[in-house]
Amino acid sequence: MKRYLLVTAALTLGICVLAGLFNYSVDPYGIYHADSANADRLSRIDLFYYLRLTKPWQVTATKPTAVVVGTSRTATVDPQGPGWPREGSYNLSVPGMTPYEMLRFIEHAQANGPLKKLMIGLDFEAFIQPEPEFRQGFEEWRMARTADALSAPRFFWQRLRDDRDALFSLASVGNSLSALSGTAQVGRRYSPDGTWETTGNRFAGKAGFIRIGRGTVFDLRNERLSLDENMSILAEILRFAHRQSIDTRLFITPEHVFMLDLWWRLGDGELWNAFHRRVVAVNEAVARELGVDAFPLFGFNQAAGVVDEPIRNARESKGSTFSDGTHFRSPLGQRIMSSVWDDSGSLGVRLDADAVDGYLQQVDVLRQGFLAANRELAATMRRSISPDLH
Amino acid sequence: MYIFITSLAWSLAFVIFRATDLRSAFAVVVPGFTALAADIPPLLQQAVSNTFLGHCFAALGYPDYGYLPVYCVLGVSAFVCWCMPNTQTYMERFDPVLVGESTRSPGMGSLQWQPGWFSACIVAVLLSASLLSLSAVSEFIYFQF
Repeated sequence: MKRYLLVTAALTLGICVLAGLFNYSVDPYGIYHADSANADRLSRIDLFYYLRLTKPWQVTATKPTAVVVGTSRTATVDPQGPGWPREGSYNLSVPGMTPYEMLRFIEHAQANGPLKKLMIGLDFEAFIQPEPEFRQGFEEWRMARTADALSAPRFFWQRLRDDRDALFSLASVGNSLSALSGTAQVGRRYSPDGTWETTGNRFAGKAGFIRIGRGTVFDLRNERLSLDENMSILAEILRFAHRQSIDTRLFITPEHVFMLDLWWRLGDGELWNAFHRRVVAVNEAVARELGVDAFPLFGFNQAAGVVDEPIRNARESKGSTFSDGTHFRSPLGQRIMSSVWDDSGSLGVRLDADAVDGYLQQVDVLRQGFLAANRELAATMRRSISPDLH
Repeated sequence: MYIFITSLAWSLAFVIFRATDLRSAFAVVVPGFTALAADIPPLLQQAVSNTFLGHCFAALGYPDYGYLPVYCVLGVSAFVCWCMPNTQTYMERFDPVLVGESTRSPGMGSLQWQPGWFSACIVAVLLSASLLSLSAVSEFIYFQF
């Protein structure tokens, strides 16, 4: 019996070690062979669900000095703007990033960097939801607050836990098998610079607008919406960037005016305007507090022909600026990057206390114009989102 | 027949027990009888895709498997439940409980456990699978954004 138990234990250990070696070799999450990562390798499985695990470790491995940070809407912003380093820039966006997560990701990047340039994408929908503080997959101890924390026992312990989950799990074996066989359903393309973009058209065009309109706007109608909590966190982010002397610029992610109109119909249009005014106010208040200039802040929702483009069917939407109502494709991401960093303001508007009200009026003119020209389409789409929407 | 009815009643009761209200429970139960050919909802498809069986089906070249992994698990579970020896029968040679000779299970001899290379391999595979199932990378679930 003793021999039997030893054989069973040895076989069990052997199988687990083999599974670990197999997962390490295949590296489905792209965290062990960051130096040889390329888009093909990173797009074998849909990393979308694991980015809160993969990106912090990729930052630790590559130590970027210039990062773009935001939600999935910022994911198409190529981290190669005017004055940005050719090497060592990274898009640190993760889906549904909360403001608190944003602070922690920036601190982590600074602890590994340090950072020279920082571009922050701010979403209205992320800032009006006080909860949750962070989303599933986020781990506090994975994120270093300072360079010293990178050698702290708790950080090391988190690394061991993540290694256990990434190497010694049946789900990872499954992901490795999918990665090797190339049969995983991956509707996105992931690049080593941290950007990703939707490739399929399943949720693009009208269907995408309706899906986002329902999930991101309409379903929040009964939630408690408040800017206060997240504006405090934004102030903390800005203080951190000022104190660390990081060359920082902010932009408010543009969304199609149809989505904006949904907020007005749900009675929260003024909240959208208040969000812009509050971001401007916080940016200027933090600068005054620290005796420095406010960070440049840009808005792009006044761009005619961009945020009021025609809404097409999925099959015809390949050339559209937006894949759905809020996620813009990489050409607009590049234009935003250039516009924010070359100071020309060619596409957006630099927002400060003097400019914000005029900007909001321009946005409203675009919204009204789109609705006047697309009355029937907009009504049909609203009905598809919910019969309660008029 | 009794087994089928009991199983069905248990399944229905389970849905009602876990639902927030009766309306939600019926929203789950009714399509089970009226929409058998319905497509798998995207969120459920995502959940199934991310299971080990889902990955295996995809790796075997069946990315559009719908509920197939679920049916496989149900089929294997039903077979194990109704056709295989239970734990007491399985370990009967080692007297795991106090039972009289009359209750011993005839015809199960070859399925009863005894130490050896074959059983060691089976146990090692199952034990490894159990250990490897204790951990998994935590996933972000896509509801919004």
